[in-house]
Amino acid sequence: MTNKILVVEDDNFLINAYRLKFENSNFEVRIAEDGEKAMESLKNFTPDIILLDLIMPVMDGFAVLSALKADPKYKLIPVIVTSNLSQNEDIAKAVDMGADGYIIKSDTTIKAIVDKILSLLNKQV
Amino acid sequence: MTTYKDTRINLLKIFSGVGLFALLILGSVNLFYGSVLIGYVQLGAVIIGVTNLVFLLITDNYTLASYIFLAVMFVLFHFVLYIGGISNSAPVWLFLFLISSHYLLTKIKGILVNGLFVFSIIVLYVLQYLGLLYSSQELVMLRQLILSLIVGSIFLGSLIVTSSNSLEETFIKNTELDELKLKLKKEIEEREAEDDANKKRNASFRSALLNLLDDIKEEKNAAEKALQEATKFKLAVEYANDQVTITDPDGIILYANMATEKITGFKIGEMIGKKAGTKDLWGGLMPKIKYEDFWKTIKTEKKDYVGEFENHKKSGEHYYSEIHVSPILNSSGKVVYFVAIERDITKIIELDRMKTDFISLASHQLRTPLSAMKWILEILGGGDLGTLNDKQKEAIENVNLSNERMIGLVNSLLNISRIESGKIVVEPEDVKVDEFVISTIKSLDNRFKLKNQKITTTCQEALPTVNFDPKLIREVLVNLLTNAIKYTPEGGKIEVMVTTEKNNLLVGIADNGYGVPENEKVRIFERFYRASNIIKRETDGTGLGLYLCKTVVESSGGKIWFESTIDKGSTFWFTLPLSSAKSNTEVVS
Repeated sequence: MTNKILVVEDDNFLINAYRLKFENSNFEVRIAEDGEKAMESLKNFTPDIILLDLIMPVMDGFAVLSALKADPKYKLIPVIVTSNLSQNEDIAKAVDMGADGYIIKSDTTIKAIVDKILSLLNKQV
Repeated sequence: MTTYKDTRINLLKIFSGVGLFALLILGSVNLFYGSVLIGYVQLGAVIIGVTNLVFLLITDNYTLASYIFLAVMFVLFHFVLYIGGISNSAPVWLFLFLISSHYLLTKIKGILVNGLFVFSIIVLYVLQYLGLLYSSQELVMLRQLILSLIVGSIFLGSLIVTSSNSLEETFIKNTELDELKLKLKKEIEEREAEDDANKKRNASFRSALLNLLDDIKEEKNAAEKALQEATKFKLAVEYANDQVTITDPDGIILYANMATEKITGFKIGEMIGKKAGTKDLWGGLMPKIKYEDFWKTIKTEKKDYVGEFENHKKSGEHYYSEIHVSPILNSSGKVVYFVAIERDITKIIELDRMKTDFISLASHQLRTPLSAMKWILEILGGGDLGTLNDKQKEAIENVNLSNERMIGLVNSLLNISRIESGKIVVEPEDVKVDEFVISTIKSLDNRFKLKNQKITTTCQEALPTVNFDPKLIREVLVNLLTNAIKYTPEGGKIEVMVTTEKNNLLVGIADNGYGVPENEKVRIFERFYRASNIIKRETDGTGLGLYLCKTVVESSGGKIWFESTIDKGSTFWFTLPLSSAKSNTEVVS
């Protein structure tokens, strides 16, 4: 079974890393470079999980999170926030808004992220 | 000044002197040639008269002298009349008594004494006539007597009617004048005495007044000085940049300085009489519990309150105040005033916010490329993009280590910023210490191996579960361990000791490395400080590790210290309270 993942990330290098790693792990990967594009892509793509960056142009991660959680169609899709913001209030804010996890990118290997996502999805199954 | 009375007294003296001299001669003549009895009486009268005169001279008692004189004459004339006198003409001289008594005793008393004299003579003659009294005087003499009395009375009458009127008046006037003079003199004397007394009194009054003036002057000076001091303080308070308000025990504003007006926008007149910090003025923005806590501290517990308040200006604009409120107690410990000093820290708060925003931004902007490098190196090193030979792998590993150092530096900088802006949150939980320590050491295994260092761990048996924030304390432990690794030469020994001491968990990390120079020991926990002996050996270091450790340990209720000998090694110790369960909402500042 192929896992579907929506990666919302504006940094190209990171996008490449994500794509490579997740595809190697048998994911169907959809990329959105900002919040608006993420909302747009959700219209014809229903992911099993969303990886969400916070600081992005046009529409930031918090706005996406609140839109997702406000919409009954999307609110059950687990969202993992991946950000380099590491202040407690940012983490708390994301968790309060319904994020299922919070990953500080610079402190985590890409492998650890993939493993975490896999274990999360396995749990759900 | 010779008064009329003086003249009379002098006349009386002369008169008496002359009369007595004549009587002395008469008495002597009678004694030797005539009636011996009369002679004795006359000489007796002389003795009495002389005594009287002496008495008058000594005492000046004119009235008494006059009475004695008249009394002597009274007795003498009666005696002369009774025995028949030295001649038949004796009674004729009786008018002398009338005149002198009138002259000496003035009108009323003179008439009374004269009346008494005439009455006593008449009684004497009546008694003689009735044969009840023997007298050598013949009744024929009665004619002479009456004649002399008539002559005397006529003389006296004419004297009274003519001259005596004026005489009497003059006499009375003179007497009155004398009395007036005397009175005046007395009054003058009294006045003079009074004046003297007044002068004395005035003098003492004056000196008292001068003393008083001096006192007043001194008091005035003191008062002026006090006023100057008070004015100085008042001006200081009035023109202070900080808001100063004084309220009664219910918080009703009694005084507000100019800064209060400037900061809040409310006019002094609008504030006086209103309760400080309510919605009507600058307050009411924060949760009710914060205000309750504030009032509880200052009013119930009577303690100083220090804190930060969010308030609003009259215009509605929000501002932040650092407030310090002290209750002023009277001698019985009752609150009489509250003095509040508030500083507008809006700019500081804004700066702090900007700093935080900057930290956020910086952390994102710095970490994102570092994350990209980290992941790409990981992918590259992991063989995802093709197999690498050993040299390539080593090169990738070196780049990765450098990247990790960079990430570490950024993290440290962010932590420092967070600590300094009070953004680190302590989230304690129950931690199994031995497992915690061992897993932390294990995570650094590669680093020990790299330098071929031997790590030994000594844990006290049955270590209790301790309540602390594992994320923060792990950072402390990692920092101390990486320092030990970095500043100990290859093949060195590192020892970790975990034990309990009193109510504390005690952790020690000892190495046999480079040590800390003696004169730099005091600075070792300072921010960005790196000891001179290790700067040359290890370029990798920020000077933030120990500063972070100290801040975290102290904010967790523990202590940190070290012992070190240059080129022999260092031991860093830190404690954590065994019984502390710090609130997870407490912000480290």
